[in-house]
Amino acid sequence: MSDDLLTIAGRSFASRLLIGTAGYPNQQTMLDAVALSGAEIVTASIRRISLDPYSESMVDLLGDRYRILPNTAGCATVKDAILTAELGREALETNWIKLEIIGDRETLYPDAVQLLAATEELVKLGFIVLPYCNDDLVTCLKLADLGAAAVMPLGSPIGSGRGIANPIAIEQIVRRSPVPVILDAGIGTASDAALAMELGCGAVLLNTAVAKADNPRLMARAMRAAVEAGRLAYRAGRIPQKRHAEASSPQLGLIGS
Amino acid sequence: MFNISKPGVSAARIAVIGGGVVGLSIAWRLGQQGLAVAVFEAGACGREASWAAAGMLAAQIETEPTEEGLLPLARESQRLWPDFAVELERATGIAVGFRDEGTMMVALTRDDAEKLRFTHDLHRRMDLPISWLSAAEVLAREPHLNPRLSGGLFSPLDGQVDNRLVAQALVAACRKAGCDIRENSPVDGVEIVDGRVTGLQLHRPDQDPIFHPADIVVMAAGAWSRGIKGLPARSRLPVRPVKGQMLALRMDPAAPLLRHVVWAPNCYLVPRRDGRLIVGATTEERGFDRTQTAGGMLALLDGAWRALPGIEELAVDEFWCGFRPGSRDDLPILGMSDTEGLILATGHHRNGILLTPITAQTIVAAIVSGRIPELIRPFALDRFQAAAVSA
Amino acid sequence: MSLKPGPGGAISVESPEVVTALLRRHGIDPAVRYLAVAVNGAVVRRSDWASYVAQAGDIVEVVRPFQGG
Repeated sequence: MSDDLLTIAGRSFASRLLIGTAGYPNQQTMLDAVALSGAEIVTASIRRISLDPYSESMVDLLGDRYRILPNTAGCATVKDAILTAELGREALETNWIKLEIIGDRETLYPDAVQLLAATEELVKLGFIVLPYCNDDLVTCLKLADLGAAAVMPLGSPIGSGRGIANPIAIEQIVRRSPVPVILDAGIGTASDAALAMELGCGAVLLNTAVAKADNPRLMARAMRAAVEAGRLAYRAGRIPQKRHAEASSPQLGLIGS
Repeated sequence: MFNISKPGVSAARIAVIGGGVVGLSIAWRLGQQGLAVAVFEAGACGREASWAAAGMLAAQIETEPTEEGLLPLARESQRLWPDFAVELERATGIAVGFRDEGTMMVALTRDDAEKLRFTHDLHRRMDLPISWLSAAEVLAREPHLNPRLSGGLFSPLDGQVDNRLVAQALVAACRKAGCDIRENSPVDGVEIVDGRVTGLQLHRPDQDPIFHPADIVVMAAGAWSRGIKGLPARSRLPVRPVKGQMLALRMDPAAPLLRHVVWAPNCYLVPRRDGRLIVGATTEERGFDRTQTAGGMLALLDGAWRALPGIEELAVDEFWCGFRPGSRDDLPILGMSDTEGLILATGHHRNGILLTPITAQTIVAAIVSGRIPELIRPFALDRFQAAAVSA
Repeated sequence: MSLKPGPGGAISVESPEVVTALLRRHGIDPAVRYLAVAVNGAVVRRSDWASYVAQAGDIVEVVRPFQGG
């Protein structure tokens, strides 16, 4: 689909699936699933270095082949998020950052107030900010206004697998957002990812749906197909939903009657 | 191509790095054939993963969707276990507690039951002789389990062995077979000249290492395999320690709360004949951290209590932790390497006890014949060097 | 600092030391890729590691990309 590229901050990507690297049963499964997903962008957290010479580092195994997008997972304040973004920039030589500031530990919903403040600050510091946010139109528009390169509304809580809780909200955001909309969090299975794309999202970011599937490799393939299918369906222009039936075969030249 | 016909197997000096059940069983089989073997163990034999394990022999019921490749090896090893146990006992007089009355997996909630159904479908697709049990049938076999459980599976071919006794028996068997067992002998590295092993560098505190010549070196160092120096970069083993915390409770052996090995949603329970009830295990990627944490204990006790409420009354006998040797894909690393004379037998993850007999059999066959048995070809180190990916 | 600990914690500096030497002393090879260092909450760029001196009482964080969603 080389004529339908995803463009974020002036960079173009053939794949509209972004994938996370956490929670896989082992490294090889993670490597294979990421490869099978067709993703070009993978997310990573920033953590204290493991001094253990035995562990194989994810970034060493993946770093050269994918664009690694650092996240600010674990940060509860603007200050922490900025330091983490700066460390991520230094470590990965990228000014892209997935900004997440969680406001509630149970639901892992973003703290919109801190998110807006951090976005403003990070944009001023020259970062390309991709904020993970609530599925709230007003917040998304404000983030875009502040210079976010994309908005990443949640479908449902992180890891819940409940799909898109409020498709109408996502549709509104897609319609009004001046920047790409990436559905991030809550995807459970392929149809959720396809729905996100049918609603007009530019891309989907998922992790748990693949990492914790019984067969992550198969699910990665499924998600790749689902994102492609949903995007094609969106571009194809679906038929409207009608209240009544309308026969598909012609009514003329009928036998009998 | 690996070739041990020079100087000839019968004259070869063999060194095994690692005195756990894998290293010891390989040494035993080699010693039985009259070959000269020395086992180098950093501490005391059989006191790491071999000690920490629960000894479950569950090739059937433990099958995971991403580990289907392990099934043929696991089933064959399980098939060998009864005779292996008998042979060990005859050679040493040490009874190793082999039991094969079957293993159960139980579901407590409806979500658990759904997951169990999925697992059962997987078992059926692989033609494993595992049957579904209703809650009543589960409780008929194990009356002390939580009466509100929702169903279970029974695997008649699975069982257990007392891994600590196995390790003890293997040490005795090795000595009887003429192996040289060197405890408290950590190995710094393997000496390689022109692509061929020449021996080991043995660690000496505050001094230079001492050289021990060997024509064949078997790498069976478990979680420590990656740290053995001297291997070319390409052959650096992708093995890491996967920490597991466990504990043992004490039941009355005359009236045990449990008779079968039981897998519950958040723990497994292994009843020993002497009344100990092993509860395991956490899975933590924390390097070689030996801390017994409150969180670990809580998780184990909570999981055990939900499945078997009667544990409330039991005394806590012991708690410990160990390090499973996990490879990059959690499957064993068996066979040759690029270096002549270097044989790999590590990465057994959570299946070391189960895979002991087949590992010994195939690795010894590889050493003696110079050819890799078909069964272990999928576990060669070079699979990590291949670029191809398959689902 | 909100970074969850790896098997080690943040490094508390005891006596003045250049960052590269500090790293080596803690078993970290400064040539390793994808590393980042912060002293007292401010990033010290790799190009400055050989010259930046951490003082006694400074808190040094050494980080790397890790699994994440």
